[in-house]
Amino acid sequence: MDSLEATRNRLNQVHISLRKLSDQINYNIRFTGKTRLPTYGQFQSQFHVLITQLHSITSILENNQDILDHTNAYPLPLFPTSQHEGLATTLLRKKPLPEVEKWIDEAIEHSKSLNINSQADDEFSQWCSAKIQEIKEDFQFYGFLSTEELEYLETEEGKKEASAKKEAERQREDVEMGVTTGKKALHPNQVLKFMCQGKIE
Amino acid sequence: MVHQLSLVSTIPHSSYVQTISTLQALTGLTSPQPVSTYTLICKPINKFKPKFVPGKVNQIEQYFMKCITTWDDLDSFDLATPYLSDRVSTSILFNSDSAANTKKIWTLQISDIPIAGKNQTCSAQNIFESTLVHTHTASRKDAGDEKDSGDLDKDSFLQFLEDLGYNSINQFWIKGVRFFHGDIVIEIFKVFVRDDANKDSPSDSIPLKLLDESNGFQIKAFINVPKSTDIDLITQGSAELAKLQDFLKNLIQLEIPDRIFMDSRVQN
Amino acid sequence: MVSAVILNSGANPESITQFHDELANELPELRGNWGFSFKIFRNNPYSIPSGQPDSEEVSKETRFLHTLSPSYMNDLCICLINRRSVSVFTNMIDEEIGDLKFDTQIMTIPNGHLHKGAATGLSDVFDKFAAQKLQSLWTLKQNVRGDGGSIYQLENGNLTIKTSNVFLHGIFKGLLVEVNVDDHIVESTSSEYLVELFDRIIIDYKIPKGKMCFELMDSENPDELGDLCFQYSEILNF
Repeated sequence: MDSLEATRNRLNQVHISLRKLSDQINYNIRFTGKTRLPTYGQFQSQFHVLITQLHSITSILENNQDILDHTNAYPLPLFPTSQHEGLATTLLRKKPLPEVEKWIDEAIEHSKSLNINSQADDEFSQWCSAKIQEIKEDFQFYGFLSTEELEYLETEEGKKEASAKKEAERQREDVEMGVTTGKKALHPNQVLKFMCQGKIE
Repeated sequence: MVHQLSLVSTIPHSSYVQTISTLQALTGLTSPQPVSTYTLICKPINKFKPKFVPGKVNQIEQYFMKCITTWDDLDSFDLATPYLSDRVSTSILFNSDSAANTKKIWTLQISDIPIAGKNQTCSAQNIFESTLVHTHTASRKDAGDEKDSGDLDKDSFLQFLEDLGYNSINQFWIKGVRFFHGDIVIEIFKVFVRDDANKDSPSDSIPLKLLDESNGFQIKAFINVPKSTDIDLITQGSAELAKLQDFLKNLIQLEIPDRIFMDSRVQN
Repeated sequence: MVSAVILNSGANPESITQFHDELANELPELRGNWGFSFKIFRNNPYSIPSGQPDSEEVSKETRFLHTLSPSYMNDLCICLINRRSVSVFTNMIDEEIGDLKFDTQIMTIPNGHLHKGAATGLSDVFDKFAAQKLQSLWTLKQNVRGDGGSIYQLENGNLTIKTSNVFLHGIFKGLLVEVNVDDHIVESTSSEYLVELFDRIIIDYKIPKGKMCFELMDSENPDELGDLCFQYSEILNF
């Protein structure tokens, strides 16, 4: 954002300088009645100013290259700005619309009336996390299954489910196997050698 | 001449979709450019035995040459489906009806072995190429060369190649896609070779099989610099490739190819 | 188009000016300046055919490779091997040439060739490619340059006469005249007809006499650019 703003300012400066230069030229033509150009010295100084400004633009662009590379400008040039001016301005608003602002105000008012104590909220959440920590210390963890789940696995039904899972796993491997035909991938070096010399070793 | 900076990698077939989606997001290119080429690998016909002069180093080398053209068949073939054998074939390019083939455009390409050096960020090599748009063989009866009459039917490109001193020794087809990220070109492709074991295909086509039978894709990320003397562009290019390598490291392990494997000099 | 190439090796500034004056009297349409580069390569003697016994150190056969790049065709290079095999190389890609494509004669590489990945788009001209990378097969023997040429168009565009000064290693070797006759006034490609045709043109336009070649490599199967390169190779046989 900063970099964009900086670029914009610099571009504006260039615009002003260019306008000043053109004014100077036009002024002389219009008011002296003769086609006389500003003196060499004036031109020189104007050009110097312009060059300095352009230089600073390039340095800004260069320094912020990474950000600017990844920035997209909206609306895109293809956007029919003239037809949908209203839409474009709505989309590009930085401040909320008046009605939205009203809703926000209302919400703030409303929350005041509810009398919520945020301090108490924070305290409560802290107490919760402390309590969880406390409770956690009472348990011992080995693996990912609870005692009930382990017991269930020992039953007939549980065993069936486990073997079904294994079957699915095996089928997936089979598909993978079909694709790769179980061969190890060729290293890029080998492929490059083939592409250079027409043989693989 | 092209100075090419490159990094290579390979991915299993199963990660193709993921890789393509990632690169689509990275480059903003929703429909990558298709790549499909046919290459003849050629070797000089003659042996080269330079006279050995003491104290003088022989600088002249013989090189393998690649002749590349577009592969126009198979445009509908979907790379996302795993290629299982006996499904792909290509029509024979050089048949006796040479009139149809004279319009083929060929690029002749010879590359140097990549530059040696320590602490390289990428492989760098010089590639020389020239593209021909037209070939023609004159059947001169007054040439006094008896063998001429025998191979008059030959395709004029192959005849040119032979007269130039090259013979094709192998061939491969490439099918893939290509993304552009800044100056970097990222190519994802599979290499096909002729499948001689497959006998039951129609006689006017060549059955193909994958070079890499594990169905993996080859990945090559490269930047072409027009001149090998343009140090600024080369430094900038290497930096960009290194950036890309770092950016994609959790998805693709881009690495520097071994220059020895890219040696296209002919060992006598 | 049929063509003939004539080299007037006894040319001097006076005779050249005189010839240009004669042409100017015919009120030709001037089509600008041109030049050419013509290179002669010989097979590298140390490149030995497999049939030859190992004891021999050099190849017995002598073969030539000629390349011709006229400046009026952008980056185009015609290559002729052993006066038989012709290839035309170019660097121009369809989309690059754009509006420049006023002349349908210019051969270009179709866009698809580049887009499908068959070329990098950074090609070399073939004569440089051969000199740099095919040294083991071909060695550069002579480098002939044509400079300061003019192109005249006569007879409503049906006849083009190109003149150029020929230099071999910077030494003046004579005046080269290339005559192109448009296809639709050519009745046959038989050599009897062509002798007559070019004899008439030489007399009509007072083209200085010299070594001339109008033969085609294969009269039944002409190849415009290939035959042109063949004629250069016959004439500039230094």
